[in-house]
Amino acid sequence: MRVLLSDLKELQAREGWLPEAGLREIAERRGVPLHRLESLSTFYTAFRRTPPDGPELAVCRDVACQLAGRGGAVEALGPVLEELGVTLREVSCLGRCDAAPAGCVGERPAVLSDEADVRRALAAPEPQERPARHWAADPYEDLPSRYGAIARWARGDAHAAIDVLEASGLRGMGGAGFPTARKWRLVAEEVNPDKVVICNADESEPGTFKDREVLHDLPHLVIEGMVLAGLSVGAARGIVFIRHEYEAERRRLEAEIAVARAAGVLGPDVCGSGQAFDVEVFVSPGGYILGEETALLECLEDRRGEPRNKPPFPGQSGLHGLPTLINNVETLAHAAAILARGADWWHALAPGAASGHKFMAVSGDVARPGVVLVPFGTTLRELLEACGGMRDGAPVGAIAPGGASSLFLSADALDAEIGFDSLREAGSMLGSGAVIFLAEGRDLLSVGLDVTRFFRNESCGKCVPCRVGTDQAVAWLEAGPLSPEVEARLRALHETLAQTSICGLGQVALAPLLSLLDRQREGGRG
Amino acid sequence: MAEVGAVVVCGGRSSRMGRPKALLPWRGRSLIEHVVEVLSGVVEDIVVVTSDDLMLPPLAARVLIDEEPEQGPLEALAVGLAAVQAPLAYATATDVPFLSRDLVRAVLDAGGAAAPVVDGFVQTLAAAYPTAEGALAARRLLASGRRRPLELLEALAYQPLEPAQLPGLRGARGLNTPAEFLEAVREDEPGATASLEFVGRPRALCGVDALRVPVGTLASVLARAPEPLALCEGEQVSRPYLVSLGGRDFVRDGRLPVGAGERVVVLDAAAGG
Repeated sequence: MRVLLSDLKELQAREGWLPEAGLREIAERRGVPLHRLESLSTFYTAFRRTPPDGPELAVCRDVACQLAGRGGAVEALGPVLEELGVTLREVSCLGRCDAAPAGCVGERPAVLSDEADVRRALAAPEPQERPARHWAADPYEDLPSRYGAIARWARGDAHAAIDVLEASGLRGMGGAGFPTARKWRLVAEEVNPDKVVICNADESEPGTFKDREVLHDLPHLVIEGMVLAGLSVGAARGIVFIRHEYEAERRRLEAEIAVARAAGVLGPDVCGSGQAFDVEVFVSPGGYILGEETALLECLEDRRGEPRNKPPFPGQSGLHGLPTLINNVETLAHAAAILARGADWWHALAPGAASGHKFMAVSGDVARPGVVLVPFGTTLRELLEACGGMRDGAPVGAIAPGGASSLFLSADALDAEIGFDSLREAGSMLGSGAVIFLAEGRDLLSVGLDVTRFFRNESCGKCVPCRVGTDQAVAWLEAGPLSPEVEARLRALHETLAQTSICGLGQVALAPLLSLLDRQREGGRG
Repeated sequence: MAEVGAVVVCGGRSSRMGRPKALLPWRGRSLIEHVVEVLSGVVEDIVVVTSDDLMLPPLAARVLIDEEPEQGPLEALAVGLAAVQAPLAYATATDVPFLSRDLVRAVLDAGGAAAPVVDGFVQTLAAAYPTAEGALAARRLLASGRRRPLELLEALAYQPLEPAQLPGLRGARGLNTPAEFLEAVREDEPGATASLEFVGRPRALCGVDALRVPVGTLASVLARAPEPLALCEGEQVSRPYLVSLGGRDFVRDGRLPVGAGERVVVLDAAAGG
């Protein structure tokens, strides 16, 4: 399993690209035709088929970095890059929208508007260590008390743990908001004794970077959530699928996995339960689409990461046909905390009828972008104030509450509460909790073009309407001001994509753009 | 991006001290300048929250006005935490002359909401607060009529820090009265003096320009004036005289503290100096 992608990643790391001779060597050694390898090397963004031309600075081209003046910053870097012989490469969102405009050298992030930082990154392209934050989401105050929930549940009734999750009402934090207990129960009820737990750590949508902080600051909770899931559903194998840009976070996670193994939390006999569970980390070879869970599975099976038709869902038939539980990083961390503290603790975290809290990634034109842990039921206005308000006190123009794939709302939505249902009622969605604030006066059409380009760039190409339609939409937008006819065609194209794409990417690819056109029209009227 | 910041709360009325604590003299400048200087060795972003009637000296910090100083320190914390750029901030009062960088570092090292607990009391103004979460929770508490910073720490699931883990814990202790301040001054500089200066008619009467006198309350300092000057009646400056403290305010209350190196200038109201 995953031998081909592992071989390719190793070759890429060794040579800096995939030379023909290396591919032939792998093909012969593994006994696969060369086209199998080519199908992978041409799909994944981490691979290249041409040798690199000296050192390379990857620069993010997506919405938060555009808002932060990426173009000007890159231009200003021109003399430095020329002096050092550095090539520029445009890449999709790096998950560093809070340090926009963002770039990276190797896996070392750099702030493009800070020339000294870019120079340091080029001089030493190793990710830097930073201290971990302690969050109120962590039920453990000190190191010895960690993994307390496993110790408690290891010998108990696994179904009782799922009951606690059900009582908490925890929902998936990766975007879809599916009830976590129901997902666990579906996999627990499968009869095949060989099951898999996967932690989806592949957040890649522009504006989304909260799992980065969870992985960095709370890796023990992510691991504990996976172990508890394994014990509850009867799985012995766990895989963390993490985007390759999160190298510093991967190291933190691997270090914590070693700690958990040494403590007997991972291994053949989890905390004396008699059950085995262990975790391996798989580094994604690149691409937003892999966050879609069936594309992720395809990748883990050494194929191009193209989403599968559903049903069957992964809970019944996932990795190599095995029942597979796939949860988001944050979901697993909260599940562990709930099983440590109880459902009542989770309910009491939020005021009124809401329950629990959520890591929100805040970016765009705010004074202090970053990850904030807020109770559900907090309003977008309160979230904005907690982030120091808008940069330079500018009025709010538009808000995407759930990342670049969510519909943009007007400033009227500031009093909407953060929640799955409340933001849907407000006309958008919570998604993974990635809020992008746009200041009044922003060119919304230009933002819409950035977002649409992202989906065009990241479309896997499996569904023709998505592959061709996103490209067509970008072409129309790049051609200049939109005529009413072209806008009508865009709306029809959106209908087509929504109805004929098998995964969320194509289904929503043009929706943010259309919502921005609506906001722009309102602005013009008001 | 700065990793840690600081909020200095200095909007209190300093009613027991009798003069603004932020402006008390300390090692040749004001206490607020001293505190900001100590913090600047540890954190990159410092926000001072003050009431608008307090004229602070220029500081290496961003100064924000607390529009509702009557709301107490929680309001000031809400204002300050919303403004700090870093995700975590050390919050302190201004009346902490013995604040040390070691203490600030140790408290911030907790990595999240944390406060020393001394003799069972949680030191809410020697504590670390996550800035965004802290600003949000403070606003919520204020909206529901609650004003105690301890409730803010509780809402943030703070880590209590044992005194044994912390260096320089004196830096957490505030000074509320002239006696506490003077004790600190004398400990910091045994034999500390202030300058008692005479201008115009008072100078003509006693024939002296200036005297070095031990620090103490204003009444004790004025009692050092040579004959025939009788500058105090009980706890009040005598009527014909004007006394300027620190070259800044005219004062009458003899209980006010006079710090090290401070200038006490005596004039005559009747003669216009």
